[in-house]
Amino acid sequence: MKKYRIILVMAFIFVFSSHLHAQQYGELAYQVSFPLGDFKEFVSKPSFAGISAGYRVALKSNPQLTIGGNFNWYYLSDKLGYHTTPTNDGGSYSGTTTRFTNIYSLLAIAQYDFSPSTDTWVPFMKVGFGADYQSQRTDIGLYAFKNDGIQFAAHTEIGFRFNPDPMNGIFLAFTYDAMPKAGNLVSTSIVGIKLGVSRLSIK
Amino acid sequence: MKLLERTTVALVVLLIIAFGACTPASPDYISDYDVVYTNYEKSYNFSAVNTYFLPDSVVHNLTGGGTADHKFDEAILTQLETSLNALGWTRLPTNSGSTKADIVVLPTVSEQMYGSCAAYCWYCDWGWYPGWGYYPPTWGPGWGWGYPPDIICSSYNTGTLVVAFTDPNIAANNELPVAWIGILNGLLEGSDANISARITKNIQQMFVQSPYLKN
Repeated sequence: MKKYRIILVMAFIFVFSSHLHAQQYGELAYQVSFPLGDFKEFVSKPSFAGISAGYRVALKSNPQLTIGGNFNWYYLSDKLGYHTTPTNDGGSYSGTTTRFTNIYSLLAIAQYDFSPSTDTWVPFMKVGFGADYQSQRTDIGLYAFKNDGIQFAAHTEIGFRFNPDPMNGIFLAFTYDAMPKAGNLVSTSIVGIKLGVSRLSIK
Repeated sequence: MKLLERTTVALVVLLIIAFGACTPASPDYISDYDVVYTNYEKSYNFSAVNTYFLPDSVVHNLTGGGTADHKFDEAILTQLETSLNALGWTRLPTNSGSTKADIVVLPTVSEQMYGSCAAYCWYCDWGWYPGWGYYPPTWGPGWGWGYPPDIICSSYNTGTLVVAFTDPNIAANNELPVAWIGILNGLLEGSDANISARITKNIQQMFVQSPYLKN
């Protein structure tokens, strides 16, 4: 069964690759993240530790549409100080509490540039789906409660790119990441402001 | 163009820094490791409690043998009495005959020692080792220095205080019902005065986070 899956994926890549343009984009970005919803109850403070790297290839049929992959890493932490936490069975525990999480996501992405990709100013929109590994941890005194696992991950992004020359760009984008509750992991929603660089290369 | 290259370099440096800082810093003070846990029997009517019996000694649970160290017993008993009296309850001198207390308070302490060793194998990723015949333990006689110690061990002591409110008046089937429990756990490190102060503060915290005890 596994062999057939590999053949299927390779066939898909082979067929699809014939539709790909020679234009390829490499990207690297820094992100400031703000937790939302239930996740904000776990970590309430904004994070200044977030990185993403991506690679996209333009489609032959529409060079303004690119597909590829993205790797994101977000680290969010919240030092609550001395804190009392209720337990599900009516008890409570108190101590110096720190909550933090590391999120590593791998996404398949599609980006649409609203103007020709080599223009000086290029507004764009990006969507991505994939999976993330997240490790949520609460340290209290000598003890640590750790929940980790794999979650489905969805990503959207809207922003603009400034190209000082046709091959290089600097972009600014607003992002939204959603990862639903999985196991004991708290459902995760993050909005972010991303600043990055991109480079176009042509095969 | 230069701006772009510099920005890229800055982002790569940020990435390296960020990956190295993906856990928060450890607590600064020994007291930051103290944890207080409380829980209670939901069906128990604490408003009916008026009297309590507190023994004049603390039970020491010596699972690993050794001798009990009673130097913190007084701090424990004094603060428990203060906190229980603050609830409006009256301490009875005995719990026998016709003078039966509504609850019996049982303080128990235990100590644990944790040890760990970590191996720091600084040469393991160097593909050429082993194979340099003269190593270890030193680069050679007369050089006067050796390789870094590759195993470092450390240990620490923790102490746990368990305070249980039991009600012998409703005991059945040889079981003593526990209506409330408070547990304090922390590092048993620092001066005696510091440990006593932390015990006092954390027993107070047991009652602060148990507002349902108040009549």
